[in-house]
Amino acid sequence: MTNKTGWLVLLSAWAALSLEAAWYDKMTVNGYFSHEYEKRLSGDTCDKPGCPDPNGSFDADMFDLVFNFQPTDRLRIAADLTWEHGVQSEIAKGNIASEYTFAEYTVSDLLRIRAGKMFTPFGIYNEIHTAKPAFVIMKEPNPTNKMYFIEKGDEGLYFYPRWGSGIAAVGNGFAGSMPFDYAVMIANGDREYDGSGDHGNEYDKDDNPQKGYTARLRLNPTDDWQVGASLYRDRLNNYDANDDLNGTGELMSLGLQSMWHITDRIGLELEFMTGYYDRDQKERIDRYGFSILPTWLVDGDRVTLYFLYAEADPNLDKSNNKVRIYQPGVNIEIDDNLFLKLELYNVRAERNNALLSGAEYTEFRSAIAIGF
Amino acid sequence: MKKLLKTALLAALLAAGACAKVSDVLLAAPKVPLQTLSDQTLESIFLGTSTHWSDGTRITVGYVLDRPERMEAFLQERLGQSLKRYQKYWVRRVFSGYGTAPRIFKDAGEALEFVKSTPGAIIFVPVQETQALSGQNYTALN
Repeated sequence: MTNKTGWLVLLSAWAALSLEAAWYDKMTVNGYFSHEYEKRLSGDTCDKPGCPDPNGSFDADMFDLVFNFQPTDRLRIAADLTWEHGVQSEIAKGNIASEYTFAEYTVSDLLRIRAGKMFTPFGIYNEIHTAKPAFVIMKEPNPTNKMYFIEKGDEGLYFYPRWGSGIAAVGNGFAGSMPFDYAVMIANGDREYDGSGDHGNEYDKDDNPQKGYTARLRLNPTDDWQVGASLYRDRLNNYDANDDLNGTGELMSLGLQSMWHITDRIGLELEFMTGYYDRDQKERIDRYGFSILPTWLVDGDRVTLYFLYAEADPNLDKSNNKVRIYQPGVNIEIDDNLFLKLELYNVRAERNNALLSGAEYTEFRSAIAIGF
Repeated sequence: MKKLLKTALLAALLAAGACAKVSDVLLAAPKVPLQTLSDQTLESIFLGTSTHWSDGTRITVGYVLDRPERMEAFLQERLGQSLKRYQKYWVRRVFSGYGTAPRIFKDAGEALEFVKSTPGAIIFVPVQETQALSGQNYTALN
């Protein structure tokens, strides 16, 4: 769906709502804003995405609006529209995107049916990865999300695509007295990009008949502890350097997660992902990534200290190519939902890592994040 | 005008009596089956995981925040979490596309007006004079 079409859908929904009630009775608007500054303090540099910034740059990171329209008791239309990196279309800068735009019909708490463009419901972070006020650290852990240490094409794709166009079922209930929730999504899936061709828009048209399947189940054994597992599988077209079809690849990933409020002040979050990417059914690449994040709310309700340790091996058959990340930081809630985040981002790559080739660097990262 | 005066009087009554004991109530729209709510359902409603009443009406959750310590106590007792953690939970939930956040009201008068015009509404309200709620659909929590 194009941006224009997305706006038309929203305006139509707005008009439909106004037929029966004041539009503001059945619509809510929330959103968030973030602005960042990053600078490499020491160590090596490179010129690929995710590499440290030697100059020190401000990033007009994001302005995002989240709409919920409720035309009937059982129908909800949700839209998350974002303007990233100081978007300015006249000079082709930044990004405007629909993070999600879907309709949801509630049959019961156990079954809500969705259709549209959605975040892939995988792991802890993907569904909130753009919403900086929604998590304590500066950005989602690299080894399990953006994976700024793999060469796309050579070492393949993320563990899962970040978005999908398709249908989904979500719901929640109790297993005995234990609350659970689940999500199942069928979407067009990801596409391979080799840099030489444009294979189209996967939110509009699939380039292969296979679909991408996602499933996630989360359980709450106690009020303070949540565990979960996610699964993603897709078979997708593989293109050669001339942009000709070269066969069918396969992407398979498993994620495990745990979020534990040890006390109201101390938390521990763990996430592990593993799986394989088989680009052309000839050379299968197995990989894993994980993150450990203890947090400590030290002063009143406002100051949280944290230390993220994350690690990934993007190809288990290749020696000395792991990446390790040490990320101490502080999150200060200056006012309600106004956060200042300050952290050091230390990356240590082994010498055979395809993207970072043994680089080691430390970056200062900071952000203001506001939710409203 | 008469309606406005009545609401203002009711709000004044609810806020009056600095020495009176504060009672926590759940105030709801007229058809909401408050008396048959189980603890588990109440928890699910405030967590946004239960979204509809049995007749299909959408649930709209809210709370009055003129005495935050009362909401804090309610959340600790019913959900086992602090107000701050509850608010962070909802920030995640809303931004990830899993629902609409609870409405927050300045005082009981505002909450009263809301339940009258919103079928399916259920609101946590600390009050000092429950007599002022006579004729409303409410249940005392303590």
